[in-house]
Amino acid sequence: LESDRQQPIQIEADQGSLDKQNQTTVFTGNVKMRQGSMYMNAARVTAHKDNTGNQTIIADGKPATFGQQLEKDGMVFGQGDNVHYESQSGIVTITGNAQVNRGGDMARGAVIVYNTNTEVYTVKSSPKGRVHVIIQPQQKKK
Amino acid sequence: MSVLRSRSNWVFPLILAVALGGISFWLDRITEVKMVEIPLNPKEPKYEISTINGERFDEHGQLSETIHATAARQFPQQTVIYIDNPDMSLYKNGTELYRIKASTGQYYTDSRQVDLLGQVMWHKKSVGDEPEGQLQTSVLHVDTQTQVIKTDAPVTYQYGMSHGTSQGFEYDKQRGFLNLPARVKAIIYDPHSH
Repeated sequence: LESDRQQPIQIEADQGSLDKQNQTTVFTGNVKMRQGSMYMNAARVTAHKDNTGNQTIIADGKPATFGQQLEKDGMVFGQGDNVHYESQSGIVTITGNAQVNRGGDMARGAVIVYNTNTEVYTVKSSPKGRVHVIIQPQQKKK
Repeated sequence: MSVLRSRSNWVFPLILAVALGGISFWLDRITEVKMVEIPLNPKEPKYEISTINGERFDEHGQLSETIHATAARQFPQQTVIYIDNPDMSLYKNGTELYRIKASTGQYYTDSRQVDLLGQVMWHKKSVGDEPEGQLQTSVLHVDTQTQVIKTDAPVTYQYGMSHGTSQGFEYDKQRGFLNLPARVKAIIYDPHSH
């Protein structure tokens, strides 16, 4: 939800550290992050901020999972071995056993690129693999 | 996924460095009492100072440091100075910036380390758009040489509206590196969205 950004970020983890010089924060061990309707669970989360305030968040896990309430209705869920988010572009790149579920739709592949601004996602397969996508038929208006 | 706005202040920058050099300067002053060594009862302090109030001024004549304590004492053949109710403040341009208090303090004149024990409270005033900060724990070890402060005890901290807890805490001022070794919980408010 757009209002998520106004909410505080709640973090729980086994361990945390902040490197002020590199503007990098690392949380490890059963990391749980919440911000409004958005959540992320991972084994390790690294957040880095550049000098212009743009932020990169990298979550690793077996898998790392995230989810968020959509503006219209329903939720979007994603998971993968590595989830990489760039605040400047709003792009989430899920790498390794990547999967995104939205409503009844599902996409699975080696890499999924999800644009949080346009809510559009692109699925790529591994060289020998294939992409799996399930799109639910539109409900007929009675 | 919405923007996870996590600015540098979201993670507690922990300006708890307490201008560590300042402490050692003041505590060194206490040890400069010239003594004639004669065999003393090791259970009796070789000296005791009560009601300590010290102020230090910078080259512009502005207050730069203060130290208050109800008493300080040192025992024969010991390098540790015991301080009751230490209450130290550091100023910038005459305005208080940091304050650190504890029930007792132990200052080791050889290693220049300070152990603060019992209701340790560190407080940082708001400066510019940097919010107020506070940290509370039961034990805090301050190494004035390496400028590292650490504890294994539970810690609670606030920084602006953000707050949290952890088990243990370590801050290396020179490296600008903060470590929360266990059971980290934090609720972080982005000052720009509130």
